[in-house]
This record gives sequence, structure tokens and C-alpha cells, in this order.
Amino acid sequence: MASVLTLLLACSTPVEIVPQAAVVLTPGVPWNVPAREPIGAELAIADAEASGLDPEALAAFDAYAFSTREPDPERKFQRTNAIVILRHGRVVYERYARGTTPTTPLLTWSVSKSFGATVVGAAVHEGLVDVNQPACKTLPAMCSDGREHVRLTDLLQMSSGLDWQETYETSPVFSSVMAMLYTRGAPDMAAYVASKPLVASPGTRWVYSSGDSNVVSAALKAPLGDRYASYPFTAVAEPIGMSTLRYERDGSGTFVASSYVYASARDVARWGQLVLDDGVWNGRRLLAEGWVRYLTTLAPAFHTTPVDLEHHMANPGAQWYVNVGDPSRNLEKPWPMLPDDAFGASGHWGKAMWIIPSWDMVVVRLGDDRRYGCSWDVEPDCEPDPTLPLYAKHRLLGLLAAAVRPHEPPAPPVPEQEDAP
Amino acid sequence: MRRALRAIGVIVGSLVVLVLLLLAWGGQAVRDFPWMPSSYEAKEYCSCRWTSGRDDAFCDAFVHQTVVPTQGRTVDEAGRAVTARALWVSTTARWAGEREGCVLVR
Repeated sequence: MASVLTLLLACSTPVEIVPQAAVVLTPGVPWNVPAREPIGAELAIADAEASGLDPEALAAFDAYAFSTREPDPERKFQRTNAIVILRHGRVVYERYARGTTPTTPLLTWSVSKSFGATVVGAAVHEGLVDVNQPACKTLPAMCSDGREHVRLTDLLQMSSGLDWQETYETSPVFSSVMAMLYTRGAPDMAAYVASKPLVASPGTRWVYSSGDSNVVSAALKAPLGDRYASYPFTAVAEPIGMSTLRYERDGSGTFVASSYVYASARDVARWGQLVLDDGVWNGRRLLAEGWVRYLTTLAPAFHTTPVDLEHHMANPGAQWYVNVGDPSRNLEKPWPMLPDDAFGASGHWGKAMWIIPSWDMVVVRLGDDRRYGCSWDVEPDCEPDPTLPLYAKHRLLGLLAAAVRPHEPPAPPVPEQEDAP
Repeated sequence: MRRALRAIGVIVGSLVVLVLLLLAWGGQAVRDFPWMPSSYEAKEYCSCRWTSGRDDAFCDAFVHQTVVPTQGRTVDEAGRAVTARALWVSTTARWAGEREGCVLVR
């Protein structure tokens, strides 16, 4: 009923636009990026124990993560497809199940959003777009009825103010995201999202929206021109050796940044390593200076949005999630078992990546869980039923944290002396 | 008798107004809904097979829907296209290339 009233109000009263401060990209990241050996076509493998992972605790992590029960025709239990952990840029743990191999491109659902925002960072680096520009500048569908005030940063920070209902299987009929992906929106998802009325001043109200992600994706079409269809591959995937990337598009050719990035767990980890290393790969800068800091800075609108139970631990950055909480509102950190500098990407059905700078670690877990154990997002400190192998994020992370010991990165490589001619 | 008829008229009239209001509110979503189960199955089966490279048995279990029963699926292995039918509506998804994966076609 509340949404009906909001909609009726939205139709009758134009939203009063509250001006927002411009985003300033500040170079550097608030963590130390160690000098590394170059990462090649094959990821280096390092011994887990010698990299500071306790073998016994890691075995407990492994046993839980792969407590899959097969056959599982009703999809009732934990269904981990792949886990890859990099420390100091090397594989210290990996395991696959359910027919997955190290090169299987896996669906990532909303982890895609964080990849989409990474690609935007490459376009910003080239000076092709500015996060402060209105989406209207390159996407005419965003130029009317107040939408012209929506900037790319408002969309990236999921605070566009466009009306949106992000529900999946629970309420498919009235779900904006289901309509965008599978019915009215499928031919041109950004046009569908842009047809939604503006119900809040851009930048003031945070609402999880897959729609916002695809408007950004479409807004890159004009600036990139002929390069658009190959850009995610040439600007990000190829330079980092992410050869299993598949990136599906809608009926109009727009990359579905909200949902349809596929890659192997190893390749997702490569991309995570790029972000951990502040957008620099083997000495070459791929993302704009300050872009990673921007992605991992809490969205300003989050502070002014009343939090509901479902989202009270979301901690949104720009298409990424951070681990800071909000002490002024008694909001817990989403992953209290991880260091404060941890951040991550998160998708439906247990798909996630966590980047933990103070551990110099990237963790990728791609599952296909249709049922979860209890979640700290809605039930703080709960523990899942130990007799049922259900996936619970905090349980997995707790077991991981128990295995990780402080460990210094290996000494930076000494540049080879060139032979005298 | 007259009073009873009037009461029934009021009730029926209110229900009609309520239904009209509901349709006005959710009409588009309600009209679009029948496409959703077949589109979901066509797109996600296509992607499972040719974007992810899984086999038929894996993908059949992957896209299985529990709420809306589907009415069959036609798979064009050579052309890498799949048509799914549910709620008396058919939808097709087609593989567009290695990098591009699958896309819904109407």
C-alpha cells in the first residue's frame, strides 16, 4: 500500500531536487599495495601453510564449504560450485564441485554489478566519462521529468531516485528486476528502467536496484561508440588474463551489468586482485586513479536512508559493499569476523567475492544455493542448523577467519640487471 | 428483499471497483507476467548450456521451476537456441557467440 501511495504522489508532485556534492576522485587506496611478482597467464600456486593459513582450520573451512549432498534434485542443500583464495596474488586454496572446472564460466548474478563498475573505471581512466555527468548526457531516455538530474554516480551508488522493486522469486509479479530481465524490459533494459518515475531526489535515497546498474551500462554506449561491444574485454579482461569472461547483453546490445557476467572462479579472483591492487596490473594502470577508493566508499545516501530489516547490513559503496557499519545508527558491520578494510561483491544464490587488504587476500565463492541457512543480515548472531548443510555467509567467513594468520607478503622482486652489450 | 438486493449490489460494486483499481495499479505487471516463466527458462537454460558449457541434465535441474509448471522445451542443438513453453506462452533464447552468450528473442 505504501508503494501505491508513493507512486500516486510521484505522479502528482514533481520531486524537489536537492543538489548533491560532486564526487572528487582521490588517488590511492587506504591500504598498502605491496610490490608483486608479475602475474602471468597461469596463476602461481603457493603452499597454504607457508602463506599463513592454518592447515587444521582450513580443513574445517573446506569441509563446511563443500558439505554438498548429492544427488539434490530439490536443490535443498549447500551447493558450492567453486572456491578460490588468492594470498599475495597466488592461489593458496581452490576446490571445485558439481562438474565445475577451473575454466568453467560460472554465472555470477549481482557480482556482475561490481564488474560493470570496474569497467566504468577504465572508461573514466581514458577520460571518456565523468561520474558527475548526468546519465542524460549520453542517454536521451534519462532526459525528462526530473531524470535529467540523475548522475552516473547516483546510479552507481544505487541512489538514482527512480522507482524500483527489487524482489525475485518471492514476488515475481510486481518485481521490477524480473520484468527487466524476462518480460517488458528484456528488449532494452535501460529504456525500461528509465521509464520508471523519479520518486526521490537523486543521491538522497539508497535503494538496491539492478535497474540503476543497467542504465550506467547503456550510458557508456555513446562515449565508447564502436568500441562498446569489445570494451569490457579489451579494457579489463584481456590485460588481466581473464580469458573465460562471457558478458551477455540485452536485446538492444547493452551489457547486462546487473546480472550476466560469467567467468571462472580463478578469473573472478584475477579481477579481484586488480581491484585489491588499486586498478594496476603488472605495473600497468587500467582503472582511473582513485576509482577503487570511490568504489569502496560508503554511498552518501546510505546515511540518510531509513534502513529496513532486509538491508540493515548492506553497507553499499558504488556497486561494491564495504565493512564499516554505521555506529551513529547502531548498525553492525556486515562481516564482523573480517577486518574493517574488507569489501566485496555479492550476488544471488551464494555468489560472492571478498577482498581483504589487511590479509592481502581475495576470496571467491560461487555457489548455486537456492536455500540459505540463517543470515546475520536479518538475525544477528544466529547459527545455522549444524545437521543441515546449508550455506550461511557468516559461517563460511568465520571458518575462513579462524584459518588466517598474519603473513608478510614475499619480498618485492628485484629488477633483473640487463646484460651489458 | 429490496434491501438485500441493494446490499448485494453495493458489495458487488465495491468488488468491481477494487478489481479495477488493482488492474490499474498492477495491470501492466499482471499482463506481462505470463511471459516470465518461459523467458526465464529459455534464457537461463540457453546460458547454462552454451555460455557456461554445461550438459543437458545439469541445466535441466538448474532451471527447474517449482511454482509454475512448464509445458516443454525445444532445444535446437545445432543452432544453439531453446524455446520454452509455460502458461501457454512460448519464448526463445538464442546463443549469440562465445563472448556474447545468450539473449532472449521474440
